[in-house]
Amino acid sequence: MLKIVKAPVLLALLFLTGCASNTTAPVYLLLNESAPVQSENVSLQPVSNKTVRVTVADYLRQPQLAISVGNGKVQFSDNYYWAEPLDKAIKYVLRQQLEQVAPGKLLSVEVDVQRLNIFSSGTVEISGEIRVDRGNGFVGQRFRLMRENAFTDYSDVAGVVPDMFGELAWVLNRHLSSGCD
Amino acid sequence: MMKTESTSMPEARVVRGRKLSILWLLPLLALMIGGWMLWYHYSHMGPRITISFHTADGIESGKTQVKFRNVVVGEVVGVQLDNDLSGINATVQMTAESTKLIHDDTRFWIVRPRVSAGGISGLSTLLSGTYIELSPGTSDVSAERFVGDENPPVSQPDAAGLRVSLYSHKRGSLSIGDPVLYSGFQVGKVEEVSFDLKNRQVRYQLFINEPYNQLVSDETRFWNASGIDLKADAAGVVLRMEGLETVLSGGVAFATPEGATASVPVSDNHIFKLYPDFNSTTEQEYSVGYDFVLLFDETVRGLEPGAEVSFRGIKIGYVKRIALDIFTKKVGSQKNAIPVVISVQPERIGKPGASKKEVVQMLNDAIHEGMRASLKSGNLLTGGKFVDVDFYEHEATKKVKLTMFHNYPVLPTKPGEFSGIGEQVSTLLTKLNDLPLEKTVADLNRTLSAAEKSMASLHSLLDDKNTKQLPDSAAQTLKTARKLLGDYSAQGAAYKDLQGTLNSLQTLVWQLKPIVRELSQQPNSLIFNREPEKDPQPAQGQ
Repeated sequence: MLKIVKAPVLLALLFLTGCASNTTAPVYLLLNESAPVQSENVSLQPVSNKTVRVTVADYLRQPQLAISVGNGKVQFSDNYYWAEPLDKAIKYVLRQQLEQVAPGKLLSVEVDVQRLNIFSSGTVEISGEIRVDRGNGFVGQRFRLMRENAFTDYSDVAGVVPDMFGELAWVLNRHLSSGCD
Repeated sequence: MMKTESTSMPEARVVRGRKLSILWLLPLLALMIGGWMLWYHYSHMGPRITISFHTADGIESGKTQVKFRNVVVGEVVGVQLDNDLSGINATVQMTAESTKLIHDDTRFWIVRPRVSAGGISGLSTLLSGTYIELSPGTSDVSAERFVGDENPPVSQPDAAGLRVSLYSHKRGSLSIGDPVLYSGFQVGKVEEVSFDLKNRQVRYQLFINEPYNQLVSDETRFWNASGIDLKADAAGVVLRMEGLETVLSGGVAFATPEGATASVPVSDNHIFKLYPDFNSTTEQEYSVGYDFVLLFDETVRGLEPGAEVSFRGIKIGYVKRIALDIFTKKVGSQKNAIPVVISVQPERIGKPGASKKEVVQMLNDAIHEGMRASLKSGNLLTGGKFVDVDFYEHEATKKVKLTMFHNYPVLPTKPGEFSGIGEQVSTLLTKLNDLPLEKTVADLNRTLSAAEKSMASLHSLLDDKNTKQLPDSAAQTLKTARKLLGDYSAQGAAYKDLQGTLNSLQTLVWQLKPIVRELSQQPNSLIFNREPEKDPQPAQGQ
């Protein structure tokens, strides 16, 4: 009986889906693809010796851009989408930034991004906890990064966020080099 | 008109010419010069001598020279066969300066390339040709005929040193030119080897160079150092060689025994005995030995003449003869014993100069105190035996008289270690015989029977089809489990596939979240088109 009902229902759903509007909102990557290189310029680099684990807040685990509209209210954009889960994207970005500021240094980093607030005022705020292991156990510290007037269009956010994580990597390396935890 | 006028004619003065022309001076002068040259030639010409050789090999008239210390002092001017055709005569014109070299005892020999065990000589003649070398004599008598040597002298006749003679009853491997060694260092050579018919001895003449002649005294012992002296006896295997050269070509070595302080230097032609080997030179220090007989009731295989007779490790004599009379008469309690003659050297037991009677008395006293002789193995490798003399307390109680056998005093013996081993083996066999072997074997048989049954059961169990398949099944299971674990390990292919599927599911859930939220906010949005909500405009973008 159920089998007989399922088939028409599915056909109806497909029909209705075809009637639905097709949103063509662009999606954004945090880690931009590099430009193609000539074969003679290809260089093999060693695998990173940095381990990065990233977790993000639940509201950030969906593709829509979460826009903070004030009073703790978040509006998920119907027009701007992340191309990939933010935890993966931030992991790639942060590891790449760490490679640039602390090449060759053996690090194990855990980042918990609790807020990625994108305000309509043009401000981007990232806060959370970062824990670093240099061989003798993890040591954690809270962080809060803020950049005002960072964008004039939401599409600019895809470029701002990586820069801010680059700033986080630079600060982290400076702390490690100075011996501060 | 004619006018005759008588005038006298002037008388011609006759002048007689010179009878001898001045030209005759020329032949006269030539004659004088010729005569001077002849005088000069003959006055600078040395004596003309004749040297006889066995053969003219290498000698050529007008080419072969005579040299002394590599200076030409003459030349062969003619080579003729002698009258009886047994050799050749070489006529040699010597130089005037060589006159003082030619004496009655001057020696000549032909120098040609020679290769022998002692070395290579005369190599230079390969290019320059054969020549005749001379060694000047010291005699005051001059001579014109000489007999040349076929071989060069081993040492120069005028060389400083010492010539001594050795005699031996047997010709060894020594030959002319062989080295004479002192502590392995060559100090001379063998000059002559001859046989003394009168004494029936081989004679060797040695020349020892100065200053090594000081090493020779009347106590010096010479021995044949040829080859390798390998001695295997009860003392073991002893290898002795003076040097590689003597191994190849032979030689004579000499030394002065230790303690020979009152030795006197010897003069030329002193005669020494040539010992066959080094050991013989030391043996002869103990010249006095008194013979005794030992009667052994056991085998004497391995006992050789010359074997040691020792007392607690100290040599006191040697075995002189074995099996004097095999089937001996009964001597005391012994019958058909093997008699062995030993020589006891009183100098070795601290009794130099002791008479045989004194030695016999001393040994008789020792026998009463328990002294006995026995055979012992000196070397397990060679099987050599020696005679051991020692005191045994339990033998002291027995009254043993010193008997005589073939006019030799008989020293009592006791069974050697090999006979003792035989007794021990016999005792062991007796004990083995007393063991309850039959009962033990019966018990063992019963045990083996039970074990055989157990083994049969075990065999049947193992032969069972299911039992045989059990290991294969277990192995297959383990293999499958190992493969399964390998696939699902971090490096396994299944793990990666599973991980990829999970990632895809996560991505799918992630992508479905907006739809789920929209459906939860507006369930009919799937059917009715929904206008996308406008985002708040960025402040600076306004």
